[in-house]
Amino acid sequence: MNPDVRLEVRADPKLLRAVRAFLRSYLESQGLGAEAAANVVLAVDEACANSIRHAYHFSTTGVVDLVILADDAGLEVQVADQGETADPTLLRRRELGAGEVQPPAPGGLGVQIMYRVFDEVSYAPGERGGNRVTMRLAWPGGAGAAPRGGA
Amino acid sequence: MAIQTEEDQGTWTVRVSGEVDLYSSPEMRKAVVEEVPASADVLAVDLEQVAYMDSSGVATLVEGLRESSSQNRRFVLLRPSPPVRKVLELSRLDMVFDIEEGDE
Repeated sequence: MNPDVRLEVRADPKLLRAVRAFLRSYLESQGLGAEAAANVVLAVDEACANSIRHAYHFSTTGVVDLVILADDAGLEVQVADQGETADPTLLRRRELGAGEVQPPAPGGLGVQIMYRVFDEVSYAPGERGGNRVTMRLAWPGGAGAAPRGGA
Repeated sequence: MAIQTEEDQGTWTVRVSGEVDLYSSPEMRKAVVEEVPASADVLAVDLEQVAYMDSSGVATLVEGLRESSSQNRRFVLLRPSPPVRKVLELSRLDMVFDIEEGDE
């Protein structure tokens, strides 16, 4: 299946706003409700921001690759970079005990947001260095529930 | 993102509007961490007009809270907008902050 979208974005924090605007518009065209769409936009923004911060260390010559696949069951978003490969232990899901406070460790908050928004998050190092995060979400309400595409 | 600050009887108010993200949060950091006058007993961050906030914005607020605690200064979030509430909730930090909904 061909992806709906392939987007190459230079790793510049200034460009994230335009990526979010595009994503918001794309998700709306897929029939996703405003609140669910806002959560997806946030989680994808966090993945891109992690590439910029931790893989490229704010070197704005790098590129973040965004791929979006959608079918009747749900949405898959891949965010990849060719920067420094992340320590996979930093990319695990963590649940907090009662009264425990989330430490704002590098990338920590963003990763946990990704887990909380998407049904499934997986991380793999890239073939030639770098990182790829794949996030999947079933359309709310079950398979094919989101009215897809234009009427 | 835009920032407005004012000091009134020991309360340093920082009004944030627009989108707070990896690009803009360093500017918010200046206002809530670096440039708070020593005379302020209360630091109030007004988030009513914030259209978007990511985890870098949340981390900046946590830093402001910690810095304020170390200065014995009260740190309060005023009228957080729905997107701010959402990211605080997803960060599991909504219970950490002193949040005020009231009028000025």
